[in-house]
Amino acid sequence: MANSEVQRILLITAIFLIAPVFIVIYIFNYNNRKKRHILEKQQMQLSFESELAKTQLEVQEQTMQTIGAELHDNIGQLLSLTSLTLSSVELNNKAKARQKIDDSIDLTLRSIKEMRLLGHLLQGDQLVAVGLVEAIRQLVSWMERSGRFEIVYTAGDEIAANRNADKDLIIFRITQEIFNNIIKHAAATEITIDLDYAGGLLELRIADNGVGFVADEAPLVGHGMGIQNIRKRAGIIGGEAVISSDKGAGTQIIVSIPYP
Amino acid sequence: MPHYFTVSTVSELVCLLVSFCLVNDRSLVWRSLILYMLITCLAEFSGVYIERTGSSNHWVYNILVIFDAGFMSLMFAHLFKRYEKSRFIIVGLILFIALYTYQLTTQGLFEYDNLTFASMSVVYVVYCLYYYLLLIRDEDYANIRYSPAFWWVTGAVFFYFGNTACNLFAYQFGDYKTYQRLSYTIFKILNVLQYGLWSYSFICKRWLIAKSNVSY
Repeated sequence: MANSEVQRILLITAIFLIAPVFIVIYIFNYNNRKKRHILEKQQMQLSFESELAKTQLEVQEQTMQTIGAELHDNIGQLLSLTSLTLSSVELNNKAKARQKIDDSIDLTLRSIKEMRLLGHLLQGDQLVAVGLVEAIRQLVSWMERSGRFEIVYTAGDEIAANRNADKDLIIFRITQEIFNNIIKHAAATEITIDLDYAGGLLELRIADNGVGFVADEAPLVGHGMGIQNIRKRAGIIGGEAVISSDKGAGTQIIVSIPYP
Repeated sequence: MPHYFTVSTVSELVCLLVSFCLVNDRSLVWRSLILYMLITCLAEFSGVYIERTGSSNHWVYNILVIFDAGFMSLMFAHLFKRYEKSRFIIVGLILFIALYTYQLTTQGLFEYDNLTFASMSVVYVVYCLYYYLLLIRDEDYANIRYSPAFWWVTGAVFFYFGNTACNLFAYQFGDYKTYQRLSYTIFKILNVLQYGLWSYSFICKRWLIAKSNVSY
């Protein structure tokens, strides 16, 4: 066979094989991308789970701190006072004794009421059992109890029917974080909380009439850290947090999450 | 005797020998490829023998094309089964039966059935490309470097795509004699590629069996 013919054969064969070779190369590349994508997804799932565990711990820690403070500052005081009142009862003076026993009964009843509120707060920690709407309601009841805030809380009925326990936990933690910021920094007197679900999107709107802040000037500790956490947490579950505030104009935070 | 050992027959023979590593394979379809390779080798050697006696060997290849259609369809049906697309094969088989019957009744068994062979090559290329599409769409990751199915399909796509292209551009080769000479050599290269890749595919299958035995 002549050299030119061999070259021709090789050239024709090469041309015929170009298309399948390119297809195979493309599939290899695509498959490698698929592998990277699966690994990234697994990595994201792991970090999501770790964030979820962290959030669970934070929710519990926050609840425990509140309960600890309540027991020490409120219920502890009430019970000490009850004990003091009872120990000063003089059985010889029946009228005075009656008065002190009545006071003690009143103090005990107040303690029981406080304990019941604390119990509800603990229930809020058990999000899976009570659901997001109820858990936030417990949080609101506890906030109202202090008498410092006038709170309006509204929640749509559709949320209870569509539940996602993981997202509920993170949204609850975001709510706790926002409440913390209001208590510590906002000096607000009125708070409105609106929880809505429409078109596969859950929207949590919390607005206060507090001192507000300039978003860019929020320090990276305390207030600023809380805001960063809110944004980060909303992002983890595919949502976003829009924070609008100005000095003296209160703060409004809108958290939108694809749900369930 | 040396006349029997052409590039094509040697590559087929090597592939047949390698295919014996599928003897213990769990899949009947993969095991049946040993039989397919055996039939192919027998047909090729018979073809060489008949050619050497001075007779036309076209009828051998006209019979072989039936086994090609059967085993290729069986194998693709098996590969598509994972994606629940096996019914796709029926269209190809109906086309094959129609063309083959038509050719058989119009020109008989002793004339080379180029129409069926060329048409089925296109059908196999479509099967191969469809398999690639299903593979790409598959959400599960498979290491295709060691995937027997992938390399078997790749072997088939190289051969049948080359063959189809050869048929399409036959007029570019010049006169018929040049076409025959060129296409014969190109077929040798395509055969080596196909059976080389199929051999690798069988080896991968064997590795998978060994690996699954170890893991159990």
